[in-house]
Amino acid sequence: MNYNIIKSKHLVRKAILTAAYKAVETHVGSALSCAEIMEALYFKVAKIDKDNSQSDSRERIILSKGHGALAQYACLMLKGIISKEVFDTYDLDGGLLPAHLDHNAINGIEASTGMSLGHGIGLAEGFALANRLKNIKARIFVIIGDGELQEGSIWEALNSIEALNLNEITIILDKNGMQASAETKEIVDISNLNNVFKQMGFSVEIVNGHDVDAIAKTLNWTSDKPRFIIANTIKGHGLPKPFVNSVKSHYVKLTAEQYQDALKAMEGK
Amino acid sequence: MRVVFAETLVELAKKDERICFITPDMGYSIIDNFQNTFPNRFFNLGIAEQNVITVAAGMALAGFKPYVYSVIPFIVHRCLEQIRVNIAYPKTDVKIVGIGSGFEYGSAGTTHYGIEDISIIRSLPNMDLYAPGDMYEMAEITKLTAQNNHPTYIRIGRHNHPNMNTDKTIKLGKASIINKGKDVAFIATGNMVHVAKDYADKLKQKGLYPTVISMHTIKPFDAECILELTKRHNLFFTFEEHTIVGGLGSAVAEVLAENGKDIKLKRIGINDEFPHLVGNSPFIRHHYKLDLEGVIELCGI
Repeated sequence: MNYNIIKSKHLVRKAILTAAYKAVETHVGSALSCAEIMEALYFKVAKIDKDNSQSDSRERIILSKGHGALAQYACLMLKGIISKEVFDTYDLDGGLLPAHLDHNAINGIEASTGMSLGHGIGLAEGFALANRLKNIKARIFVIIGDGELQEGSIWEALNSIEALNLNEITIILDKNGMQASAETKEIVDISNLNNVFKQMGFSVEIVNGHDVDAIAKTLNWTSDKPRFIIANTIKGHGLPKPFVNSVKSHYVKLTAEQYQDALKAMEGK
Repeated sequence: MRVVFAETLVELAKKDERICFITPDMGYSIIDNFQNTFPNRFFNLGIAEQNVITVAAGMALAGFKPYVYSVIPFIVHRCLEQIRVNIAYPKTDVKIVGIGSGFEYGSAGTTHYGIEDISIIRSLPNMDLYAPGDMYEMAEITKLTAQNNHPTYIRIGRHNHPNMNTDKTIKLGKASIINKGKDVAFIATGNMVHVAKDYADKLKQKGLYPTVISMHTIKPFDAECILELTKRHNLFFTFEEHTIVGGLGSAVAEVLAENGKDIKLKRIGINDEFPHLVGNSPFIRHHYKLDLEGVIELCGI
Protein backbone atom coordinates (compact mmCIF):
# COMPACT_ATOMS: atom_id res chain seq x y z
CA MET A 1 0.00 0.00 0.00
CA ASN A 2 1.17 3.50 -0.81
CA TYR A 3 2.56 5.12 2.32
CA ASN A 4 0.85 8.45 1.60
CA ILE A 5 -2.49 6.71 2.02
CA ILE A 6 -1.35 5.00 5.21
CA LYS A 7 -0.19 8.31 6.59
CA SER A 8 -3.11 10.49 5.52
CA LYS A 9 -5.69 7.98 6.68
CA HIS A 10 -3.85 7.23 9.96
CA LEU A 11 -3.97 3.54 9.19
CA VAL A 12 -1.32 2.51 11.73
CA ARG A 13 -3.21 4.06 14.62
CA LYS A 14 -6.55 2.86 13.31
CA ALA A 15 -5.30 -0.70 13.08
CA ILE A 16 -3.99 -0.49 16.64
CA LEU A 17 -7.27 0.91 17.95
CA THR A 18 -9.44 -1.58 16.14
CA ALA A 19 -7.42 -4.61 17.24
CA ALA A 20 -7.31 -3.30 20.80
CA TYR A 21 -11.05 -2.76 20.78
CA LYS A 22 -11.66 -6.34 19.67
CA ALA A 23 -9.30 -7.78 22.25
CA VAL A 24 -10.35 -8.55 25.80
CA GLU A 25 -7.95 -6.17 27.46
CA THR A 26 -4.65 -4.91 26.14
CA HIS A 27 -1.67 -2.57 26.39
CA VAL A 28 -3.16 -0.13 23.94
CA GLY A 29 -1.70 2.96 25.63
CA SER A 30 1.81 1.54 25.28
CA ALA A 31 1.26 0.76 21.59
CA LEU A 32 -0.12 4.23 20.83
CA SER A 33 2.83 5.76 22.63
CA CYS A 34 5.26 4.24 20.11
CA ALA A 35 2.97 4.13 17.05
CA GLU A 36 4.69 6.98 15.17
CA ILE A 37 8.14 5.72 16.10
CA MET A 38 7.27 2.35 14.57
CA GLU A 39 5.59 4.01 11.57
CA ALA A 40 8.68 6.13 10.91
CA LEU A 41 10.97 3.11 11.21
CA TYR A 42 8.96 0.80 8.98
CA PHE A 43 7.92 3.28 6.32
CA LYS A 44 10.61 5.95 6.21
CA VAL A 45 13.83 4.65 7.73
CA ALA A 46 14.62 0.93 7.92
CA LYS A 47 15.37 -1.14 4.84
CA ILE A 48 12.84 -3.82 5.47
CA ASP A 49 9.93 -5.01 3.38
CA LYS A 50 7.96 -8.06 2.38
CA ASP A 51 10.72 -9.38 0.12
CA ASN A 52 13.72 -8.98 2.40
CA SER A 53 12.08 -9.59 5.78
CA GLN A 54 13.92 -12.92 6.14
CA SER A 55 17.13 -11.87 4.42
CA ASP A 56 20.40 -11.67 6.35
CA SER A 57 20.94 -8.13 5.14
CA ARG A 58 17.65 -6.69 6.40
CA GLU A 59 17.66 -3.83 8.83
CA ARG A 60 16.20 -5.01 12.08
CA ILE A 61 13.60 -3.40 14.33
CA ILE A 62 13.43 -4.77 17.86
CA LEU A 63 10.63 -3.55 20.05
CA SER A 64 12.17 -4.25 23.42
CA LYS A 65 9.10 -2.89 25.17
CA GLY A 66 7.22 -5.91 23.85
CA HIS A 67 3.95 -4.88 25.45
CA GLY A 68 3.74 -2.30 22.66
CA ALA A 69 3.49 -5.27 20.27
CA LEU A 70 0.33 -4.03 18.61
CA ALA A 71 2.21 -1.09 17.07
CA GLN A 72 4.67 -3.49 15.45
CA TYR A 73 1.98 -5.90 14.28
CA ALA A 74 0.08 -2.99 12.68
CA CYS A 75 3.18 -1.90 10.75
CA LEU A 76 4.02 -5.46 9.69
CA MET A 77 0.47 -5.86 8.40
CA LEU A 78 0.49 -2.57 6.49
CA LYS A 79 3.90 -3.47 5.01
CA GLY A 80 2.45 -6.77 3.80
CA ILE A 81 4.92 -8.80 5.90
CA ILE A 82 2.00 -10.40 7.73
CA SER A 83 -1.49 -10.73 6.33
CA LYS A 84 -4.58 -8.86 7.43
CA GLU A 85 -6.10 -12.22 8.34
CA VAL A 86 -3.24 -12.94 10.73
CA PHE A 87 -3.35 -9.42 12.14
CA ASP A 88 -7.04 -9.79 12.84
CA THR A 89 -6.34 -12.67 15.24
CA TYR A 90 -4.49 -10.40 17.66
CA ASP A 91 -5.06 -11.43 21.26
CA LEU A 92 -8.06 -13.58 20.35
CA ASP A 93 -8.56 -17.18 21.47
CA GLY A 94 -6.71 -19.47 19.08
CA GLY A 95 -5.09 -16.48 17.32
CA LEU A 96 -1.51 -16.09 16.15
CA LEU A 97 -0.49 -12.83 17.75
CA PRO A 98 -0.06 -12.68 21.52
CA ALA A 99 -0.16 -9.45 23.50
CA HIS A 100 3.63 -9.53 23.87
CA LEU A 101 6.00 -10.08 20.98
CA ASP A 102 6.69 -13.72 20.27
CA HIS A 103 9.53 -14.73 17.97
CA ASN A 104 7.95 -18.13 17.39
CA ALA A 105 4.60 -16.68 16.33
CA ILE A 106 5.18 -15.16 12.88
CA ASN A 107 7.87 -13.93 10.52
CA GLY A 108 8.92 -10.37 11.12
CA ILE A 109 9.37 -10.54 14.87
CA GLU A 110 13.10 -10.57 15.57
CA ALA A 111 12.84 -11.83 19.15
CA SER A 112 10.41 -12.44 21.96
CA THR A 113 10.26 -9.39 24.20
CA GLY A 114 8.12 -7.80 26.84
CA MET A 115 8.69 -10.30 29.62
CA SER A 116 10.36 -8.61 32.54
CA LEU A 117 11.87 -6.24 29.91
CA GLY A 118 15.45 -5.24 29.19
CA HIS A 119 16.40 -7.90 26.62
CA GLY A 120 16.21 -5.99 23.34
CA ILE A 121 19.52 -4.17 23.33
CA GLY A 122 21.53 -7.31 24.08
CA LEU A 123 19.79 -9.12 21.24
CA ALA A 124 20.59 -6.19 18.96
CA GLU A 125 24.24 -6.50 19.91
CA GLY A 126 24.17 -10.18 19.00
CA PHE A 127 22.68 -9.32 15.59
CA ALA A 128 25.27 -6.57 15.11
CA LEU A 129 28.21 -8.86 15.95
CA ALA A 130 26.83 -11.52 13.61
CA ASN A 131 26.51 -8.94 10.83
CA ARG A 132 30.09 -7.84 11.33
CA LEU A 133 31.36 -11.40 11.04
CA LYS A 134 29.36 -11.73 7.81
CA ASN A 135 30.46 -8.33 6.48
CA ILE A 136 26.89 -7.12 6.38
CA LYS A 137 26.26 -3.44 6.95
CA ALA A 138 22.77 -2.97 8.33
CA ARG A 139 21.36 -0.74 10.99
CA ILE A 140 19.55 -2.16 13.98
CA PHE A 141 16.90 -0.17 15.83
CA VAL A 142 15.79 -0.95 19.36
CA ILE A 143 12.82 0.73 20.97
CA ILE A 144 12.81 0.74 24.75
CA GLY A 145 10.46 2.25 27.30
CA ASP A 146 11.49 4.76 29.94
CA GLY A 147 10.24 2.48 32.72
CA GLU A 148 12.34 -0.25 31.09
CA LEU A 149 15.46 1.76 31.92
CA GLN A 150 15.02 0.47 35.46
CA GLU A 151 16.05 -3.02 34.32
CA GLY A 152 19.68 -3.79 35.15
CA SER A 153 20.20 -5.75 31.95
CA ILE A 154 19.64 -2.52 29.97
CA TRP A 155 22.74 -1.08 31.58
CA GLU A 156 24.76 -4.24 30.98
CA ALA A 157 23.89 -3.86 27.32
CA LEU A 158 24.51 -0.11 27.11
CA ASN A 159 27.98 -0.59 28.57
CA SER A 160 28.97 -3.15 25.99
CA ILE A 161 27.54 -1.25 22.99
CA GLU A 162 30.03 1.45 23.73
CA ALA A 163 32.84 -1.00 24.50
CA LEU A 164 32.28 -2.90 21.24
CA ASN A 165 31.72 0.33 19.32
CA LEU A 166 28.50 -0.97 17.81
CA ASN A 167 27.50 2.25 16.07
CA GLU A 168 25.11 0.41 13.77
CA ILE A 169 22.74 0.24 16.76
CA THR A 170 20.26 3.03 17.39
CA ILE A 171 18.26 3.01 20.59
CA ILE A 172 15.01 4.90 20.66
CA LEU A 173 13.62 5.72 24.06
CA ASP A 174 9.83 5.92 24.03
CA LYS A 175 9.72 8.42 26.85
CA ASN A 176 6.08 8.65 27.88
CA GLY A 177 6.79 9.16 31.55
CA MET A 178 4.45 6.39 32.61
CA GLN A 179 4.79 2.80 33.64
CA ALA A 180 2.45 0.07 34.81
CA SER A 181 1.52 1.50 38.16
CA ALA A 182 2.67 5.11 38.34
CA GLU A 183 4.43 8.00 36.67
CA THR A 184 8.01 6.98 35.99
CA LYS A 185 9.44 10.01 37.81
CA GLU A 186 7.65 8.93 40.98
CA ILE A 187 9.60 5.68 40.90
CA VAL A 188 12.94 6.60 39.36
CA ASP A 189 13.51 10.13 38.12
CA ILE A 190 15.39 9.90 34.83
CA SER A 191 15.27 13.57 33.90
CA ASN A 192 19.03 13.90 34.29
CA LEU A 193 19.99 10.86 32.30
CA ASN A 194 20.59 12.59 28.95
CA ASN A 195 24.10 13.53 30.00
CA VAL A 196 24.74 10.04 31.27
CA PHE A 197 24.00 8.59 27.85
CA LYS A 198 26.28 11.17 26.26
CA GLN A 199 29.06 10.34 28.65
CA MET A 200 28.59 6.67 27.96
CA GLY A 201 29.56 7.41 24.37
CA PHE A 202 26.19 7.78 22.65
CA SER A 203 25.18 10.48 20.27
CA VAL A 204 22.01 11.74 21.97
CA GLU A 205 19.15 13.56 20.23
CA ILE A 206 15.69 14.54 21.38
CA VAL A 207 12.66 14.36 19.09
CA ASN A 208 8.88 14.69 19.20
CA GLY A 209 7.87 11.03 19.31
CA HIS A 210 4.54 11.61 17.60
CA ASP A 211 5.93 13.44 14.56
CA VAL A 212 6.74 10.79 11.95
CA ASP A 213 8.70 13.16 9.69
CA ALA A 214 10.78 14.54 12.55
CA ILE A 215 11.56 11.05 13.82
CA ALA A 216 12.53 9.87 10.34
CA LYS A 217 14.76 12.89 9.80
CA THR A 218 16.56 12.28 13.09
CA LEU A 219 16.94 8.55 12.49
CA ASN A 220 18.32 9.02 8.99
CA TRP A 221 21.25 11.12 10.15
CA THR A 222 24.45 9.21 10.18
CA SER A 223 26.78 9.14 13.13
CA ASP A 224 30.09 7.58 13.97
CA LYS A 225 28.76 6.81 17.43
CA PRO A 226 25.94 4.53 18.55
CA ARG A 227 22.84 6.65 18.81
CA PHE A 228 20.39 7.20 21.62
CA ILE A 229 17.23 9.00 20.52
CA ILE A 230 14.94 10.33 23.20
CA ALA A 231 11.44 10.44 21.76
CA ASN A 232 9.06 12.43 23.90
CA THR A 233 5.74 10.66 23.74
CA ILE A 234 2.34 10.50 25.39
CA LYS A 235 1.03 7.25 26.72
CA GLY A 236 -2.39 6.54 25.28
CA HIS A 237 -1.87 9.25 22.64
CA GLY A 238 -5.16 9.74 20.79
CA LEU A 239 -7.33 7.83 23.25
CA PRO A 240 -10.29 9.45 25.02
CA LYS A 241 -9.24 11.85 27.75
CA PRO A 242 -9.20 9.65 30.85
CA PHE A 243 -6.63 7.42 29.16
CA VAL A 244 -4.31 10.07 27.75
CA ASN A 245 -1.07 10.48 29.64
CA SER A 246 -2.38 8.17 32.28
CA VAL A 247 -1.42 4.83 33.77
CA LYS A 248 -5.03 3.90 33.06
CA SER A 249 -4.08 3.22 29.45
CA HIS A 250 -1.45 0.61 30.33
CA TYR A 251 -3.95 -2.19 30.27
CA VAL A 252 -7.39 -1.34 29.05
CA LYS A 253 -10.62 -2.57 27.51
CA LEU A 254 -12.14 0.12 25.30
CA THR A 255 -15.92 0.49 25.21
CA ALA A 256 -17.66 0.93 21.85
CA GLU A 257 -18.12 4.62 22.61
CA GLN A 258 -14.50 5.15 23.57
CA TYR A 259 -13.39 3.36 20.41
CA GLN A 260 -15.64 5.51 18.19
CA ASP A 261 -14.55 8.69 19.97
CA ALA A 262 -10.90 7.81 19.41
CA LEU A 263 -11.50 7.16 15.71
CA LYS A 264 -13.33 10.46 15.34
CA ALA A 265 -10.61 12.36 17.17
CA MET A 266 -8.09 10.90 14.77
CA GLU A 267 -10.03 12.19 11.78
CA GLY A 268 -10.12 15.61 13.44
CA LYS A 269 -13.91 15.47 13.82
CA MET B 1 38.09 -30.86 32.30
CA ARG B 2 37.82 -27.18 31.43
CA VAL B 3 41.04 -27.39 29.44
CA VAL B 4 39.74 -30.42 27.54
CA PHE B 5 36.61 -28.46 26.70
CA ALA B 6 38.57 -25.39 25.63
CA GLU B 7 41.06 -27.30 23.49
CA THR B 8 38.31 -29.38 21.86
CA LEU B 9 36.44 -26.19 21.05
CA VAL B 10 39.50 -24.70 19.36
CA GLU B 11 39.72 -27.75 17.09
CA LEU B 12 36.00 -27.55 16.30
CA ALA B 13 36.19 -23.83 15.60
CA LYS B 14 38.95 -24.41 13.02
CA LYS B 15 36.43 -26.33 10.93
CA ASP B 16 33.26 -24.46 11.83
CA GLU B 17 33.38 -20.71 11.32
CA ARG B 18 30.06 -20.24 13.09
CA ILE B 19 31.56 -21.11 16.47
CA CYS B 20 32.05 -18.07 18.71
CA PHE B 21 32.95 -17.73 22.35
CA ILE B 22 31.24 -15.17 24.56
CA THR B 23 32.28 -14.74 28.15
CA PRO B 24 31.27 -12.54 31.08
CA ASP B 25 34.95 -12.14 32.00
CA MET B 26 35.43 -15.82 32.85
CA GLY B 27 37.87 -18.39 31.53
CA TYR B 28 41.06 -16.46 32.17
CA SER B 29 44.01 -18.58 30.93
CA ILE B 30 41.73 -21.54 30.09
CA ILE B 31 40.38 -19.92 26.95
CA ASP B 32 43.50 -18.04 25.83
CA ASN B 33 44.12 -20.40 22.97
CA PHE B 34 40.66 -19.77 21.52
CA GLN B 35 41.05 -16.04 21.98
CA ASN B 36 44.46 -16.01 20.29
CA THR B 37 43.44 -18.31 17.46
CA PHE B 38 40.11 -16.65 16.71
CA PRO B 39 40.28 -13.08 18.03
CA ASN B 40 37.34 -12.05 15.83
CA ARG B 41 35.12 -14.73 17.31
CA PHE B 42 35.98 -14.12 20.94
CA PHE B 43 33.98 -11.61 22.97
CA ASN B 44 34.51 -10.67 26.58
CA LEU B 45 31.41 -8.61 27.35
CA GLY B 46 32.37 -7.87 30.92
CA ILE B 47 30.70 -8.99 34.12
CA ALA B 48 27.23 -8.97 32.64
CA GLU B 49 25.91 -12.52 32.42
CA GLN B 50 22.36 -11.69 31.40
CA ASN B 51 23.64 -9.63 28.51
CA VAL B 52 25.99 -12.44 27.49
CA ILE B 53 22.98 -14.73 27.11
CA THR B 54 20.95 -12.23 25.07
CA VAL B 55 23.93 -11.35 22.84
CA ALA B 56 24.55 -15.06 22.26
CA ALA B 57 20.89 -15.56 21.40
CA GLY B 58 21.04 -12.69 18.91
CA MET B 59 24.12 -14.17 17.26
CA ALA B 60 22.49 -17.59 17.10
CA LEU B 61 19.32 -16.15 15.56
CA ALA B 62 21.60 -14.67 12.90
CA GLY B 63 23.17 -18.07 12.14
CA PHE B 64 26.15 -18.35 14.49
CA LYS B 65 26.93 -20.99 17.10
CA PRO B 66 27.94 -19.15 20.26
CA TYR B 67 29.38 -20.80 23.36
CA VAL B 68 28.94 -19.00 26.65
CA TYR B 69 30.94 -19.92 29.68
CA SER B 70 30.81 -19.06 33.37
CA VAL B 71 30.36 -20.40 36.87
CA ILE B 72 27.06 -22.27 37.12
CA PRO B 73 24.99 -20.00 39.40
CA PHE B 74 26.15 -16.93 37.49
CA ILE B 75 25.25 -18.18 34.03
CA VAL B 76 22.24 -20.37 34.91
CA HIS B 77 20.46 -19.05 37.98
CA ARG B 78 21.03 -15.37 37.31
CA CYS B 79 20.06 -15.63 33.65
CA LEU B 80 17.07 -17.94 33.85
CA GLU B 81 14.61 -15.64 32.10
CA GLN B 82 17.09 -14.85 29.35
CA ILE B 83 17.75 -18.57 28.87
CA ARG B 84 14.07 -19.40 28.91
CA VAL B 85 12.91 -16.71 26.48
CA ASN B 86 15.92 -16.22 24.23
CA ILE B 87 17.40 -19.73 24.08
CA ALA B 88 14.98 -22.49 25.10
CA TYR B 89 11.75 -21.12 23.63
CA PRO B 90 13.05 -20.02 20.21
CA LYS B 91 15.47 -23.01 20.10
CA THR B 92 18.53 -20.89 19.46
CA ASP B 93 21.76 -22.79 18.93
CA VAL B 94 23.51 -21.52 22.03
CA LYS B 95 25.75 -23.81 24.06
CA ILE B 96 25.92 -22.82 27.71
CA VAL B 97 28.90 -24.23 29.56
CA GLY B 98 28.57 -24.03 33.33
CA ILE B 99 31.71 -24.68 35.32
CA GLY B 100 32.14 -25.74 38.93
CA SER B 101 29.41 -28.40 39.11
CA GLY B 102 28.50 -29.45 42.64
CA PHE B 103 31.06 -28.44 45.24
CA GLU B 104 33.97 -27.93 42.85
CA TYR B 105 34.37 -24.34 44.06
CA GLY B 106 34.66 -25.66 47.62
CA SER B 107 36.37 -22.82 49.43
CA ALA B 108 34.64 -20.13 47.35
CA GLY B 109 31.49 -20.83 49.30
CA THR B 110 27.80 -21.46 48.82
CA THR B 111 27.45 -18.57 46.37
CA HIS B 112 29.53 -20.51 43.84
CA TYR B 113 28.12 -24.02 44.18
CA GLY B 114 26.35 -25.51 41.19
CA ILE B 115 23.84 -27.68 42.97
CA GLU B 116 20.41 -26.80 41.58
CA ASP B 117 21.20 -26.35 37.90
CA ILE B 118 20.10 -29.79 36.72
CA SER B 119 16.59 -29.33 38.11
CA ILE B 120 16.36 -25.79 36.75
CA ILE B 121 17.50 -26.56 33.21
CA ARG B 122 15.68 -29.91 33.11
CA SER B 123 12.40 -28.09 33.54
CA LEU B 124 12.91 -25.97 30.41
CA PRO B 125 11.48 -27.49 27.24
CA ASN B 126 13.85 -27.80 24.23
CA MET B 127 17.02 -27.71 26.34
CA ASP B 128 19.53 -30.57 26.16
CA LEU B 129 21.52 -31.17 29.34
CA TYR B 130 24.87 -32.94 29.70
CA ALA B 131 27.12 -33.70 32.65
CA PRO B 132 30.30 -35.45 31.52
CA GLY B 133 32.00 -37.62 34.11
CA ASP B 134 35.52 -37.81 32.71
CA MET B 135 37.80 -36.17 30.15
CA TYR B 136 36.80 -38.57 27.40
CA GLU B 137 33.11 -37.81 27.89
CA MET B 138 33.95 -34.11 28.05
CA ALA B 139 35.70 -34.18 24.68
CA GLU B 140 33.12 -36.42 23.02
CA ILE B 141 30.15 -34.44 24.28
CA THR B 142 31.76 -31.20 23.14
CA LYS B 143 32.31 -32.66 19.67
CA LEU B 144 28.92 -34.33 19.35
CA THR B 145 26.84 -31.40 20.60
CA ALA B 146 28.67 -29.10 18.18
CA GLN B 147 27.15 -31.14 15.35
CA ASN B 148 23.58 -30.30 16.29
CA ASN B 149 21.74 -27.02 16.59
CA HIS B 150 19.96 -27.66 19.88
CA PRO B 151 19.89 -25.27 22.80
CA THR B 152 22.34 -26.98 25.15
CA TYR B 153 23.62 -26.79 28.69
CA ILE B 154 26.81 -28.62 29.66
CA ARG B 155 27.70 -28.70 33.35
CA ILE B 156 31.31 -29.49 33.97
CA GLY B 157 33.67 -29.95 36.86
CA ARG B 158 37.21 -28.84 37.46
CA HIS B 159 38.60 -32.26 38.28
CA ASN B 160 41.05 -34.42 36.35
CA HIS B 161 39.95 -37.94 37.26
CA PRO B 162 41.27 -40.65 34.95
CA ASN B 163 39.00 -41.77 32.15
CA MET B 164 36.45 -44.43 33.04
CA ASN B 165 34.26 -44.44 29.99
CA THR B 166 35.63 -46.89 27.42
CA ASP B 167 32.58 -46.65 25.17
CA LYS B 168 34.13 -45.88 21.78
CA THR B 169 30.81 -44.79 20.37
CA ILE B 170 29.30 -42.43 22.91
CA LYS B 171 25.88 -41.33 21.78
CA LEU B 172 24.08 -38.26 22.99
CA GLY B 173 20.99 -39.28 24.89
CA LYS B 174 22.30 -42.81 25.55
CA ALA B 175 23.81 -43.69 28.91
CA SER B 176 27.27 -45.30 28.96
CA ILE B 177 27.96 -48.50 30.85
CA ILE B 178 31.13 -48.14 32.92
CA ASN B 179 30.94 -51.50 34.74
CA LYS B 180 28.60 -54.25 33.65
CA GLY B 181 27.24 -56.24 36.60
CA LYS B 182 23.99 -57.45 38.12
CA ASP B 183 21.56 -57.06 41.03
CA VAL B 184 22.67 -53.57 42.03
CA ALA B 185 22.69 -50.58 39.67
CA PHE B 186 24.70 -47.43 40.30
CA ILE B 187 23.48 -44.59 38.08
CA ALA B 188 25.81 -41.64 38.39
CA THR B 189 26.45 -38.36 36.68
CA GLY B 190 29.27 -35.81 36.47
CA ASN B 191 31.58 -35.66 39.45
CA MET B 192 30.00 -38.72 41.04
CA VAL B 193 30.76 -41.23 38.30
CA HIS B 194 34.24 -41.92 39.64
CA VAL B 195 32.90 -42.34 43.19
CA ALA B 196 30.31 -44.85 41.99
CA LYS B 197 32.96 -46.73 40.04
CA ASP B 198 35.40 -46.82 42.95
CA TYR B 199 32.64 -48.09 45.20
CA ALA B 200 31.62 -50.76 42.71
CA ASP B 201 35.22 -51.89 42.32
CA LYS B 202 35.52 -52.13 46.10
CA LEU B 203 32.35 -54.21 46.34
CA LYS B 204 33.93 -56.90 44.18
CA GLN B 205 35.79 -58.01 47.31
CA LYS B 206 32.40 -58.79 48.81
CA GLY B 207 31.34 -60.72 45.74
CA LEU B 208 28.99 -57.96 44.58
CA TYR B 209 29.12 -56.67 41.03
CA PRO B 210 27.04 -53.53 40.65
CA THR B 211 26.46 -52.17 37.19
CA VAL B 212 27.80 -48.62 36.93
CA ILE B 213 26.16 -46.23 34.50
CA SER B 214 27.44 -42.81 33.51
CA MET B 215 24.35 -40.76 32.80
CA HIS B 216 26.26 -38.09 30.90
CA THR B 217 23.09 -36.99 29.15
CA ILE B 218 20.38 -35.96 31.55
CA LYS B 219 18.11 -34.52 28.91
CA PRO B 220 16.92 -36.11 26.70
CA PHE B 221 16.80 -38.74 29.42
CA ASP B 222 17.66 -42.35 28.56
CA ALA B 223 14.56 -43.97 30.07
CA GLU B 224 15.21 -47.06 27.98
CA CYS B 225 18.47 -47.67 29.85
CA ILE B 226 16.66 -47.46 33.20
CA LEU B 227 13.98 -49.90 32.09
CA GLU B 228 16.60 -52.27 30.69
CA LEU B 229 18.43 -52.20 34.04
CA THR B 230 15.27 -53.31 35.85
CA LYS B 231 15.58 -56.71 34.14
CA ARG B 232 18.74 -57.76 35.98
CA HIS B 233 18.83 -55.35 38.93
CA ASN B 234 16.46 -54.82 41.83
CA LEU B 235 18.36 -52.23 43.89
CA PHE B 236 19.12 -48.85 42.33
CA PHE B 237 21.28 -46.03 43.63
CA THR B 238 21.60 -42.67 41.93
CA PHE B 239 24.64 -40.49 42.54
CA GLU B 240 24.78 -36.78 41.83
CA GLU B 241 26.62 -33.83 43.32
CA HIS B 242 23.41 -31.85 43.18
CA THR B 243 20.23 -31.43 45.18
CA ILE B 244 18.11 -34.57 45.22
CA VAL B 245 15.16 -32.33 44.29
CA GLY B 246 14.56 -32.58 40.57
CA GLY B 247 17.92 -33.92 39.46
CA LEU B 248 19.17 -37.29 38.21
CA GLY B 249 17.59 -39.25 41.05
CA SER B 250 14.24 -37.65 40.38
CA ALA B 251 14.49 -38.46 36.68
CA VAL B 252 15.20 -42.12 37.48
CA ALA B 253 12.38 -42.23 40.05
CA GLU B 254 9.93 -40.82 37.50
CA VAL B 255 10.78 -43.55 34.99
CA LEU B 256 10.52 -46.33 37.58
CA ALA B 257 7.29 -45.09 39.11
CA GLU B 258 5.49 -44.41 35.86
CA ASN B 259 6.41 -47.81 34.51
CA GLY B 260 5.21 -49.61 37.63
CA LYS B 261 8.61 -51.09 38.41
CA ASP B 262 9.01 -52.64 41.84
CA ILE B 263 12.57 -51.48 42.40
CA LYS B 264 14.21 -50.21 45.54
CA LEU B 265 15.74 -46.81 44.85
CA LYS B 266 17.93 -44.57 46.95
CA ARG B 267 18.95 -41.13 45.74
CA ILE B 268 22.40 -40.07 46.86
CA GLY B 269 22.90 -36.32 46.56
CA ILE B 270 22.54 -33.16 48.56
CA ASN B 271 19.48 -33.00 50.75
CA ASP B 272 17.14 -30.05 50.43
CA GLU B 273 19.31 -27.58 52.31
CA PHE B 274 21.93 -24.90 51.65
CA PRO B 275 25.47 -25.90 52.54
CA HIS B 276 27.27 -23.31 54.60
CA LEU B 277 30.55 -24.90 55.48
CA VAL B 278 33.97 -23.40 54.96
CA GLY B 279 36.53 -25.66 53.36
CA ASN B 280 37.88 -27.21 50.20
CA SER B 281 35.85 -29.55 48.00
CA PRO B 282 37.03 -32.82 49.60
CA PHE B 283 36.06 -31.49 53.03
CA ILE B 284 32.63 -30.35 51.85
CA ARG B 285 32.03 -33.62 50.00
CA HIS B 286 33.06 -35.58 53.05
CA HIS B 287 30.57 -33.68 55.21
CA TYR B 288 27.77 -34.38 52.73
CA LYS B 289 28.83 -38.02 52.41
CA LEU B 290 29.52 -37.63 48.72
CA ASP B 291 33.00 -39.16 48.84
CA LEU B 292 33.74 -42.88 48.79
CA GLU B 293 33.56 -43.25 52.56
CA GLY B 294 30.28 -41.35 52.65
CA VAL B 295 28.51 -43.27 49.93
CA ILE B 296 29.58 -46.58 51.49
CA GLU B 297 27.83 -45.46 54.67
CA LEU B 298 24.73 -44.15 52.88
CA CYS B 299 24.32 -47.13 50.58
CA GLY B 300 25.05 -49.63 53.32
CA ILE B 301 25.90 -52.57 51.10
